Amino acid sequence: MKRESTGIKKVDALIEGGFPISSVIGLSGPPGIGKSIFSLHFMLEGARKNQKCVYINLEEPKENIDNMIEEFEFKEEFLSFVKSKKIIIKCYDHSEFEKIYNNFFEKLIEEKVQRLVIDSFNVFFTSFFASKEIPTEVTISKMIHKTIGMLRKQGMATLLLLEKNKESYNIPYLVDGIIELDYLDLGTIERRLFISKMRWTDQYKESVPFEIGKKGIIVQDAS
Amino acid sequence: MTDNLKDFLFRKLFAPQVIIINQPGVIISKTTQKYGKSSSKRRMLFVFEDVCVAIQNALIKKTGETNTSSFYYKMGKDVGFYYMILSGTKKISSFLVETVIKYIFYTLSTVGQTFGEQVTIDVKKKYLCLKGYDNIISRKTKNISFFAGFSSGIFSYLLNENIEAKIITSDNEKKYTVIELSKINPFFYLPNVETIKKFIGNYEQNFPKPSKFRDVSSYKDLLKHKKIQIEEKGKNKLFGYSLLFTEVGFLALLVRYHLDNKYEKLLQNAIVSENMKIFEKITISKEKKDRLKFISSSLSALGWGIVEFNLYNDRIICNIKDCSMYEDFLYFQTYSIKGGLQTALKKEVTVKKYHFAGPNSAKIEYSL
Repeated sequence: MKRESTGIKKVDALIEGGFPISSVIGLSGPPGIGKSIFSLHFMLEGARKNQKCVYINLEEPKENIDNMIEEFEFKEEFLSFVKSKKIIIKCYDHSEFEKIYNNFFEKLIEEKVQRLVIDSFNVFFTSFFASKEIPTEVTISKMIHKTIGMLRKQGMATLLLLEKNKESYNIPYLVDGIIELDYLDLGTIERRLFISKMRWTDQYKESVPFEIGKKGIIVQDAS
Repeated sequence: MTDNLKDFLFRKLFAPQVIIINQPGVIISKTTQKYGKSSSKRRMLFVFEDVCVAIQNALIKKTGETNTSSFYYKMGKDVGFYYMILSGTKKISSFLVETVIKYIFYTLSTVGQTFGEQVTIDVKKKYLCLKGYDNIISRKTKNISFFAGFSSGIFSYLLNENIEAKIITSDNEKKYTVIELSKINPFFYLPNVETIKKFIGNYEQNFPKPSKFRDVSSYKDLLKHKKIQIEEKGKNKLFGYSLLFTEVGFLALLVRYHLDNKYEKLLQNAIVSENMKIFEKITISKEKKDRLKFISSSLSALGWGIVEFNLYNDRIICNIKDCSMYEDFLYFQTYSIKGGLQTALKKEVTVKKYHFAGPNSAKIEYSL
């Protein structure tokens, strides 16, 4: 099976070389664990392969994303891809996103996007419904099901960032894979990455430790 | 009746389904069964094996092997009755006794209590023989009396007739044990069912509504982060130290027995000193507040409730939310935490007071 590299070699090694091609992957974890940083690696890898990458953030202003990129050694390379529009970063608030939602998928096809990150997918639908009546759980679930189906159909490698402890609407069942980032605080913080699901893949079954440093996410050897 | 038919009936009509509900601070084992109550819940937790070993060894040292064996046999038998009363087991048909017995001892063997790994039973003759290897606690104390008493409690309760246990072999070198229960064993002890029911009280009060704010880990988190390892026969280890998985009442009864028999000092010293040794070895943080966080997070993950500390100049307050309501278990927690605190703070602390501050909420004050 063809695979797309995650952008982090040691994570690729845990999933037989990368995400299955055209798959929709959930990346879940508590706030501040490193989901957005993981997505930077994902986009950087795509851009290096001459793929068009789009990052959509529905919660934070662009300045925050820019500041995040500045922290890392790969910032120059990353920003060069932003300049050449290989990587597109879009930050929307509710009202802005509502306006573009209806053409969202058409735009992705038109722009020939090959890697997509949605940060966070939990607010993706609440943004859409911001000025409309509150949807039922069934409505949201149906929309999610439809959206994931459409994303898969477009042939993009998609990373959906999911906030842990927020309503999941069965998203883990609908996506092709789930990578969980989590931490344990026993006086010292230890971060771990766990691949709880990856279709068509004999994934590594245990958790692996990781840290965040100047090079971004650094996965340690399994222990 | 053939074994296959018995097993079929047991599975289809009576076989309990066990679900473990695990959240930070609270571990609940929920069993649905049809031969007793429709379902029963137990408040479970983990405790370091070495603490239980230290308590038993301290008694052996103080009073001798014979007295300790008698003490623990009676306690074990009470716990056996306690276990059966909690499960809501009423009289069951004799043709199912064998299957139920095998089920109980099999279940125990999956969590390190392997004294009944091999079961030989003749219900008509009221005979039961349990063989096991490397049973938790007794493998280190070399004293299997508690488990002998426990087996007697279970068997007697199910048969509605007092059957004592005899220890045939306790091979210290190889940790191999044989316990034989038979009508011919002379009478030793009969638990008082009413006393045990009174001890249980309102068991439902041990199941709090989950607290919303939880800044601590669960057992599942420790497992996922590889701080807990599960070895053969379900032996759990936290940072290399074996854990006993038990219902909270066992520890409460352990405390109650010691207090009633005026072994309070012995109990306190054993609990405190062993916890000090363990926490000294397993705490890696250097900063005081990180060491306190380690204690609160690890004990919470072991199902002790949500443990939090507030440190002042002259005292430290420990609040435990979602705790069990056994006062005797609160005693156990108080002195266990004292051991952890003395290691974290590198000074002696004194227990000033401990009490329930509300439903499933306890407060322990230590002076520095």
